[in-house]
Amino acid sequence: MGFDRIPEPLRSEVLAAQEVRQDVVLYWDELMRSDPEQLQARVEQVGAAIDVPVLAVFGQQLSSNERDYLRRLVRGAQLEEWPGRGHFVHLAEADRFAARLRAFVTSARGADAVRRPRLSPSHGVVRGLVDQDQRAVDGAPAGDPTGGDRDRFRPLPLPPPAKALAATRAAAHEARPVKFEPYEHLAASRRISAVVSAPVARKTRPLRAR
Amino acid sequence: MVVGHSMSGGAAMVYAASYPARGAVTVDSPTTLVPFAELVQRLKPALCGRGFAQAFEPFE
Repeated sequence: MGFDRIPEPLRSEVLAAQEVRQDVVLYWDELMRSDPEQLQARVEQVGAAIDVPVLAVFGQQLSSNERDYLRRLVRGAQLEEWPGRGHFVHLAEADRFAARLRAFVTSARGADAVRRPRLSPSHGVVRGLVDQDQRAVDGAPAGDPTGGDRDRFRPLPLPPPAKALAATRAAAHEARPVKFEPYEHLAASRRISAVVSAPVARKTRPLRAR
Repeated sequence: MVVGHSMSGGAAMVYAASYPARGAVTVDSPTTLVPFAELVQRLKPALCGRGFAQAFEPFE
């Protein structure tokens, strides 16, 4: 995924702090339940509603199709490509990222006052995504992560103690030769398929009431 | 200003489209969700069940 691009001692700190928890991963619930193309159509709805400056930093070079798509998705987006820096581009070049972020924040401050949102927070897409993100932020499910559909989510034994798990991972990571292994699913997700640019039926269904 | 890494870049964008904000930053976020959603759906039974640890390996 690009851990090997993070310089020490930061890399060890990241690996030691890494904890994979199933209840957090289950915030992908929406990804699991939605038709992928309808989901992408909703992403496009969000992109069209963005009315503030957007900076998108990537740890690899984009294809021209990807650039074109992103520019259509969010008009005026500033795209930055830092090839070879990997998925953790903000840690691989932390000082450079901090400087770029600071410059972006400064320029955004100089813009007009805070823009009024164009999507209502009660919008299904918004409520669902923000709720799911909040679950991840809290580190614990807000309410029932199964959405009441417990048959689909069987209980799991507790994972090994986080500390031991992190130490094992760090040791395994150190033992591996340092080489860049493309994060396959993300690489795949960046391939822009024809379906994305084609008209998509916007049959968004309301997210479950909370 | 909202900043999101990876999939959370989408959450940052949703926030910026929905609440007052001065800007949004995404960090190495996927340009489209379609292949990622398809992968997650293929792995869904294991991700949601006892095969979680193994199923999650491709994401690490």
